[in-house]
Amino acid sequence: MTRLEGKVALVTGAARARGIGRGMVQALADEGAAVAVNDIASAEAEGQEFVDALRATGVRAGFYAADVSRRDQVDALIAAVEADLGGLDIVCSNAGVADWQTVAETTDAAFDRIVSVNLTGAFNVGQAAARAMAARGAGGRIIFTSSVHAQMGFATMSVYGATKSGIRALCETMAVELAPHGIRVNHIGPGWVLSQLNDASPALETEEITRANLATIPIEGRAADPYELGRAAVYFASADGDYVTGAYLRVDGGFVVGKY
Amino acid sequence: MAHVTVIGVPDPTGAAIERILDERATLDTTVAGTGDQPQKAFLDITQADWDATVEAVKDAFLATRAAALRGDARIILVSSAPAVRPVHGAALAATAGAFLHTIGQVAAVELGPTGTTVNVVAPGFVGDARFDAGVPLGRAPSAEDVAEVCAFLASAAAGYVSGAILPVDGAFTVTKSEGGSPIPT
Repeated sequence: MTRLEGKVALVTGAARARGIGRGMVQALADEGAAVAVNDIASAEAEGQEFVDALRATGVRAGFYAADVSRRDQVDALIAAVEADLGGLDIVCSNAGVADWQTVAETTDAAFDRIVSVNLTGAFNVGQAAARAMAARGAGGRIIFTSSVHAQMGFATMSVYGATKSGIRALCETMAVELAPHGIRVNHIGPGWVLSQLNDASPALETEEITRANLATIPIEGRAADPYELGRAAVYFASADGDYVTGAYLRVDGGFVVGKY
Repeated sequence: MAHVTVIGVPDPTGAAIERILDERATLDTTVAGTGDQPQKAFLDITQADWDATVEAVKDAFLATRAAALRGDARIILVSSAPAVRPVHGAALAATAGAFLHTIGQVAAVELGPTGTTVNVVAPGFVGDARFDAGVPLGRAPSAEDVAEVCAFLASAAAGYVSGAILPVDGAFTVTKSEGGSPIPT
């Protein structure tokens, strides 16, 4: 498919082998986009390996190390990608971290870490991308990875869920304000993905617990393949999403249907 | 004598809540909000604006955590209408408020077995006459409108209300007829 031929895309938090970011990069690349793979510097080897594999199949791709919680690094990231690949058409703000503690148990350090990556990171990437797109005057697509948590809370994940609710509200306000610039802003809500982010989840503690939890998912009793989130990103990024802004697309196999 | 804590709710609303709860509260109660977020175009928000919003949100979370550890019977978080429905020029209030919505709902679930209730009040633009035309009730809320709802949630009568997000906005967030934002950006 070539729905994104000639487009330039950036996906943050995209180096990890089992992560949603990789699925987004792969799906965007499969539609013809040039892709910038971002992650933190410590994930560079994994990201570079992914980029090499993409290039081997003829994709214009590059790895760009940046910590999304640091605005100076995000501004440098956007500038570097635009210098190398061209003006950004599609930006997926996807980088995130999680932790499992009740409100009463949540440490200041855990709060700071989750909020700085998930929420400040979303603001940094969203605003830097929107400024670049507005300056170029060719519109654009900004796609946030929120979560089913944006719709319903889960015990022991108050701060994580709150960052995702925050992204929902930020996304909606951006959609309202950025429409005159031709910029569409939407968010995607994954449910279960067996990504590195979830490795520490108590719900996946043993194979038996994992099996029991995934069995509750209506569609085929399985977690999502990250590529399935990628196809949702392609919908928002392509002409198929021309008339869509401020929207939420839940891609969770029906996990939270009837639960919120 | 009930212990009342009010943190991060800008005046006049914060002062009204303190006054009314000091008079009426019979249960230990914490009320926490996200301060006063600047209204400006999304593209013009500065890093300092953002950092201040994150600090305010953290203060509200820490107040919630302290209330949970202390065993307060009532926790009331104060968000704002833009967290329910987007309003041009109010990205910071929207984000901070939506953050509190989930903190409140998860805390309600976690603290349910202790009998503590946790709710969120989402006021319209208190005292801001620019919004009058967009509010079906014909006026912006007063500080007392918000404080009275907090007093109800803090009362024994509201003992079975938990995890709610309660707009106090004169139906502002459920109308589309005059939905535009009067905030200049």
